[in-house]
Amino acid sequence: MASSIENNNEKLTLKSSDGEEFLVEKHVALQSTLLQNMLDSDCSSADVIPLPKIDARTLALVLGYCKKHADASSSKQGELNSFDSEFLKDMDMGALFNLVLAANFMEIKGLLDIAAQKIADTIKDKPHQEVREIFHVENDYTPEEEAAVREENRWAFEGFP
Amino acid sequence: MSHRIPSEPLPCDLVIEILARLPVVSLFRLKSVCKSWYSHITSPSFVAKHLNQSITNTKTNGDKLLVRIYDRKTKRDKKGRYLLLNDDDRFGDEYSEFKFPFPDPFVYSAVVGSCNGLLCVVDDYYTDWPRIIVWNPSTRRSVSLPKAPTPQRQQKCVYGFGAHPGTREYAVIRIQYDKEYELKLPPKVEIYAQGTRSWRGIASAAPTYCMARCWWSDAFVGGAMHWVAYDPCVVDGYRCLIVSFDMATESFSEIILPPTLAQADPSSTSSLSIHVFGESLAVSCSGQRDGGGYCIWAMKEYGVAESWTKLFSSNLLGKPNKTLGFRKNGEVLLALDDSLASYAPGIETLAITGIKGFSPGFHVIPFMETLVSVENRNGVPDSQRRGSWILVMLVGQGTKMPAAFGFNDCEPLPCADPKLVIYTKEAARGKPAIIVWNPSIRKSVTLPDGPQVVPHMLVLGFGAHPTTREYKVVRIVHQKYPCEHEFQPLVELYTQGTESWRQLGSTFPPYCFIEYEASQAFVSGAVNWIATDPRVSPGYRPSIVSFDMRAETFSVLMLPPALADEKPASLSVKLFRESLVVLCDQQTGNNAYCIWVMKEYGVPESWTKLFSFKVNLPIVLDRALGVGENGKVLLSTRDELLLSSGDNRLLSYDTVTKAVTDTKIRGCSSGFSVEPFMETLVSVENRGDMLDRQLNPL
Repeated sequence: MASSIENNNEKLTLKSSDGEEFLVEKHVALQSTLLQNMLDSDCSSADVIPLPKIDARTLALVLGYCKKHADASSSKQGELNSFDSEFLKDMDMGALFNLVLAANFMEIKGLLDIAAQKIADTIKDKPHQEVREIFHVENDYTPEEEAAVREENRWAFEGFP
Repeated sequence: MSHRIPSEPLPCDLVIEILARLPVVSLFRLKSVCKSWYSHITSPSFVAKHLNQSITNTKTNGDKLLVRIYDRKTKRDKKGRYLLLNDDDRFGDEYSEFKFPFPDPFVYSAVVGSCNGLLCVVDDYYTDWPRIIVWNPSTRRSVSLPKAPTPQRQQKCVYGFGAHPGTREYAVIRIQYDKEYELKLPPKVEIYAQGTRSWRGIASAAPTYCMARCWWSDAFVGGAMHWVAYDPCVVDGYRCLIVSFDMATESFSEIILPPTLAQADPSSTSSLSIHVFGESLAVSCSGQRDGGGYCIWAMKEYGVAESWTKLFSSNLLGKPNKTLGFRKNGEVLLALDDSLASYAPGIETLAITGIKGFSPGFHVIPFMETLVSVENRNGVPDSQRRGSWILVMLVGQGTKMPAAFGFNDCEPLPCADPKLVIYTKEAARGKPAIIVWNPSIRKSVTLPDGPQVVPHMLVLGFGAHPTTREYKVVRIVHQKYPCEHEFQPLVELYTQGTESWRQLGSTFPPYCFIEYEASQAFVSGAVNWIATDPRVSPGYRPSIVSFDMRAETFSVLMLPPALADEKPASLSVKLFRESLVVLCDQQTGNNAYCIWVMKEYGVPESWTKLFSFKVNLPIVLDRALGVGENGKVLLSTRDELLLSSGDNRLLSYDTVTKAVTDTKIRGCSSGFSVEPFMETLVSVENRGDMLDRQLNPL
């Protein structure tokens, strides 16, 4: 990542939670409202900016998204849409969660939107037990309570396992 | 695709971000995942968030259309069907179907319009009392509205369906023309607002223009309903225009049409029709005298007559047809020869789909998933409904601004700090919650439960430490109703960021009792309430109890002698120009008020009468709610006057000119609460977190 930049654009260095450093062009970093606010304030771009909540694997993905969207901002929306869906295509739930957390922390609205939508699309027809495992939640209903809640909108379970 | 289980759970706000992107059927299933998901999904704030998300999704990639048809072959049964079609390359090949929730009428029913994913249908032919149905196809819920007060015999009615842009509550309006006068008299206008259970007239004048002979489906854009109308007084030729009804101001206005459309004959059902194109108004015109032709114009900039632009015109479609709507790819949907057809303007091609039906019966709306209730406001029965939907702000010049902050399920406590408002709400299990909310940044937190779980009675106070600016909430907990004997309530305090309540050793003043609904004002670093001496009976002896946020102690302030015998319920305390004021409703029901100011805080000798006035109106007014910087006083009309609650008016009285103005804000009188508003970035979250982020943003 760091070696592939050839513009003499202003650059800044981001450091992931596991200590890896990423050199990023300023216009790419501006996709993140968090970084934009930091650059607007007196934060010197010479400093290394630590991102203690984001690991290197996730940060590389985030920066890939930012680069595409920063470079293609004037080009066709359709091209970006197909990039977005390709970008998330084979990602597992763990990676998607990390992406949502990183997008939320770095305030990258577009990325938060597509990653949250991808998770929603994935869990939309999943059995409850699988959803509970993914989100680390316990079923705290008694069987009677759970049946009563299901009864509220019985039609929604038609044809559902 | 692999489903590696994420190692950590997501924080709650991100779980909600994901849930807000799910269709209604999935959300209804996921309610039974666990209790906290049930609470999220059923909360009004989530319903509002989900609606916002759906509106965004529909705008950017809306890909479903709801098509109403009447089967040609079963015309005798008059059975309306509602089909859901994917707006993609295979448009019209397959569809799913919604079951219309009411028995079908004897004759065709008309789709009035749609907004926020809701649909309004009326069967208004040959009946004095047509059914008006509001339906949410996503939740499969529907209601039949109460009958309007006047029958429509000898009348021709036009309907409109829309939603208040702030509260998102839907409303139906009915415009009645008297046929005898050839539609030349101004029509009678009635409105039904969601959950009010009754129709009412509107204050503003209705236009003399007529929508009755046009095919009157409305287009809801920019918070207003729009119909094609014409001037019935023009006899030589025609003058058509658009009439709009603004939901926020409840007033009509008119929009000029381009000459080609303005001169069209409005009497044919297939000539002019109004639509939503993207977020603009569009009007289509077909089958005119000069050999047909078909065109669609759009108003690119709302309300700007010069921005009318012809999207296209075509001679291909010479035959009369009915324009139904637009597709994502820019094609126009038409009802043509009893078929649903898709017309591509640029390349002039027409694709006839396999969806067949009686041409005039076709109606197309963009489909939007929403959890929005069609029943009472916020799905709460009227009897339990105490919420206030609009925060009235008294800003610098005393102008009022209704703001929609979407905290629909909450009852505002009569207390506020200039920065943050505190609310309590009945959560799903009836447990009151205390919420600290900063409307400017749309952030709120629910405070942890206090140590006293089920107090007999609770009084809350809200303020901030004068130097650290950390907010504090004080709870005065009565274990039982105080009688003549001395009593000591428990006093607990919550300080921002501490995550827990602590009991205070400070003594509550004896023989002072604060009613549950007493108002509070945060002035000079102290919270002030109206209190009363429970030993005095008959009669009253009110005073002011204050709690100092720095010293965390209580004290008692004397009221001016003129107010010393007043009923505590007719007194309220407010902040006015940095001083403590007492608003008094003298001799309840008499519309007479006086307002006293304590010029120097804590000095009883400084009590000065600010205004006293009597409002000359033939109606009974309720409490005075607040004083604006310019001396305008906000008052509301009384609940008892109207059969249904929720229709009370909020009035503004100018103490200088003695003029009364209607703010156009409606609500339940006891639910009105007026607080000074201040824009602020102050965090509602815990103090430590806020400081951490400021010191070290990463």
